[in-house]
Amino acid sequence: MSFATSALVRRMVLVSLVLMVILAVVMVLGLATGSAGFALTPVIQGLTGTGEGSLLHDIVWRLRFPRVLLAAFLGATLSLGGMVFQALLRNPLAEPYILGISGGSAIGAIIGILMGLSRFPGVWLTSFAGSLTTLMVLYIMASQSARLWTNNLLLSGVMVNAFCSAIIMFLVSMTQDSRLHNILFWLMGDLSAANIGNVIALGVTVVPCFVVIFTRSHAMNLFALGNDMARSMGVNVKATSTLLLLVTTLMVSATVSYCGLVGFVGLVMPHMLRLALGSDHRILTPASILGGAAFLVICDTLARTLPEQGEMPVGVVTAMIGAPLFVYLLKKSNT
Amino acid sequence: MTAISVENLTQSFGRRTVLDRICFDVAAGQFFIIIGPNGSGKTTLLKLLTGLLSAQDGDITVMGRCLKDYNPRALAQQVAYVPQNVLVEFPFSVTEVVLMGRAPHLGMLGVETPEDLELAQEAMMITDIIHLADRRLDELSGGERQRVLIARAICQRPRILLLDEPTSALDLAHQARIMDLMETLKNDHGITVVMISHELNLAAMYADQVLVLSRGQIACMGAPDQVLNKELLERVYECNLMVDMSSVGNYPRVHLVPKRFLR
Repeated sequence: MSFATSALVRRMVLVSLVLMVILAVVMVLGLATGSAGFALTPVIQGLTGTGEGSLLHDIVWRLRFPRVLLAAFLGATLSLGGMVFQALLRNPLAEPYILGISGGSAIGAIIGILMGLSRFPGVWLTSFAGSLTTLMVLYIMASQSARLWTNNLLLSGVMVNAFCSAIIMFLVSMTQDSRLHNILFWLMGDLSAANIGNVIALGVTVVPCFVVIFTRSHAMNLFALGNDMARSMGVNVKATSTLLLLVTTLMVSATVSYCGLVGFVGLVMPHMLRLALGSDHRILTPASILGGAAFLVICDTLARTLPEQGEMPVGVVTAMIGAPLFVYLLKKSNT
Repeated sequence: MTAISVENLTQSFGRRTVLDRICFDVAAGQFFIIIGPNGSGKTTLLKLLTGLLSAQDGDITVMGRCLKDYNPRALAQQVAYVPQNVLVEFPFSVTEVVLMGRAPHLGMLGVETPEDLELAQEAMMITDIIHLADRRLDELSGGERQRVLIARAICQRPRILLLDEPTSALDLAHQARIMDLMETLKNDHGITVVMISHELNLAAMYADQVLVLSRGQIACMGAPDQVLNKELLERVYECNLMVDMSSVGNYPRVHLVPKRFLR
């Protein structure tokens, strides 16, 4: 490989490797931490294939491992989803959560839960249907005036989001029985239902989406100059943006149906990575996946260990870390 | 050889007809400048030529092939486009933006070879932005950004270059530089340059052909010394002008006449 080629590829590999190491460290710490105390030994024993049979080994590998893995997939998906929406709308504030896509998907999921469907594939399908519906409503609302497309889409999204929240509260207030607590807890981001079968099914759903998005990462660079410019440089704008929106909605709704609404990851991670690594989406795509995964594993570990009893929803932690961090970054990047 | 051929091109937005049965040819290797008052349909015409808008009626042929038969990538290998202005939200570096021009010649991930990097360097050199190579696009002035976009279009290595008022944000020196550059691209590389401009005098100095657009129709087309005459321009622009010949070369010079001198 020639020098210039390997310059980009080398950077891609280097960034990925560094973030992979961070993710691995964070995952090991997440596995070692819990209400049973901090213990590295069973994690290391498990990684080397020894120590089976002990209670701690079971806690780490049967209970914590699926959950840590779920947190990683969730963080990767949300962070990457935010990056794609930001690239397509050319707006660093765009994110599935803010645009109401997650809200629509939550309505679908709640309906699924109320209908008594199983998490996979029942609730996932109703959730996907919900997010597709909001995506279509957004499209129609925003495309009425083509000139201010991006701004309109963001404003429409805020409205769609508000409407979705109202419907969610309506559905919640209509629910009386034990499902109420389930729904409320799930809404704020609940990872406690993780079991290894479901997590693998989620992984099988989202990882191909990651690959598809990566293949369009250079096109996303060209989108930064505007749709007209992207088109004049050979991008099939309509096909590419439709594909990206669909794939992103698919993977985001899959995670929403599992874990509920977790905000700010899609906003904070791509923004932070862009400040550190620049705007090239060929680098940002793997970085968002790995960085988002690491961020959410940290947040989940905190959510499990901060309260003295029980745990809190991970959405609370991401919002409490994410919102001030975002304001700080915004201020810093403006000076 | 004809680079672009336009036949009976008609485009309307709602009830307003922006272009009304336009016909013209642009010969290959020409410097072709489109002038006309605001709202005369210049930008719409250029967007139709780039395939950004699809024509409601009429035919456009680019390099002997119907525009509709091109896919975006094949068209981008023939035609590059520089819009009036571009807002970039994300902090791409100048080199990154210039390299984007290579996209239609590269694979899906757009991984650049050393040759692509050389082409980008060369494009930055001739547009006088090589010293800005590592700067972020959003830190640059309007004129510098315009030159980056032109460098990107040159890097695309098109047969036809379409520009929408590229000199409007530039100071005199850079106006001359860009126009000289277009002339060089035309003479040395055989590139057909089609440009919209409000600068009648730049059109007079550089154009092989000038097309005057007025209310969606062609008011006149031909060499600058034929087209840029007082009667026609006063009628099209609805203002008072004086036209004489430049002492530098044999091209017309258009002056505005302020109202206070009209009595």
